[in-house]
Amino acid sequence: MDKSNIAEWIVARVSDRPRASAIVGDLLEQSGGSLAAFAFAVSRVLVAMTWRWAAGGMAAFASIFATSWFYTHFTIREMLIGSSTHHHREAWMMWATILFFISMCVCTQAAISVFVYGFQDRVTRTSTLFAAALIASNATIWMPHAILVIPLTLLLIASCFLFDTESRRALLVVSFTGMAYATTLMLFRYVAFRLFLSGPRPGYLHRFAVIFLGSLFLAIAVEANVLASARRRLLPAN
Amino acid sequence: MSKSPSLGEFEQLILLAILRLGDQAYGVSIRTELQDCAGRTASPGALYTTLDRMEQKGLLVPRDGEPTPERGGRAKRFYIVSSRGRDQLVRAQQSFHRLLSGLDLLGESNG
Repeated sequence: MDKSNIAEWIVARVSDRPRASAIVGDLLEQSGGSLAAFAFAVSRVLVAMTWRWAAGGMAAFASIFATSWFYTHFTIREMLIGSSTHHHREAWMMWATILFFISMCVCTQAAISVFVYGFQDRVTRTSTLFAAALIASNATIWMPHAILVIPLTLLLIASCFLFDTESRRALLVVSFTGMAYATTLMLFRYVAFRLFLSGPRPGYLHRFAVIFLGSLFLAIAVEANVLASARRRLLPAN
Repeated sequence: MSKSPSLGEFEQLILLAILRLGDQAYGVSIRTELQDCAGRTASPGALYTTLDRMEQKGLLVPRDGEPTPERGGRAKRFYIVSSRGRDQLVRAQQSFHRLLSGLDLLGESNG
């Protein structure tokens, strides 16, 4: 296989085929037949096209631990106090778990979006606003009347996005991307746990850790893909 | 009406280079024009990601040319500035002119 065909195939993994072909053609034209110059130029293009996604993925991974920190320090603590006092699960405890899961979906998305599209981007702003609102809701859901106030506040924030087309579309992008993350995470874990963790066998904890981390990586990768394609389709001129 | 985001310096240079090149603006010629006119050596990574972003924002319109042998049978991707790109460039340049007026940085009064 010719060096330029290999380069074109690699560049097409992070771009589309016609664009990859044009870029490799340009680099061939400028390299003057030098393989080293050509390979160096291709690697620079690849780094420029992918570093933001890689950094966004790492930030998304870190955001899961940040969200978990809030959940552990505010909500879990109250859950333990509540359980020891009342000896039963209260309604807010179930909602806290659901809110934690949703906030994780939106926080990872906000982290990716900040790195890839920047703070000025509409999707970044929307996902960051919802991530902050969900984390705050999660940390305060144990408070009196919070179970009523929080859904109303979140609905009010969401309804503010229904007034103009671009905001509605940004909300749709955030929703699709969050759903993609949640679906991937749940499906992968369900299948992997059934296949690899049925029954107490040696290495259970090791397998559990691999599946747990693997599912997070996979969900972030799917989320990044859905974010890119949903944003391209729904907000093409942003 | 939604507010248009402002253009970055590199984006303005690229738009100006494309306007200067007319219908012959593609990766290599844009890079050469930036080097010759602005003394700016654009890295291939920065150039192609910026062209990509500007295309997505609707500032540029791409057109594929004919395949040529020196490019391994690959077509050139030519760019033209869209009306949206032109409007944003004009707006950015007008702000520069307004800010520059009366400063005599270009030495008009001495020249």
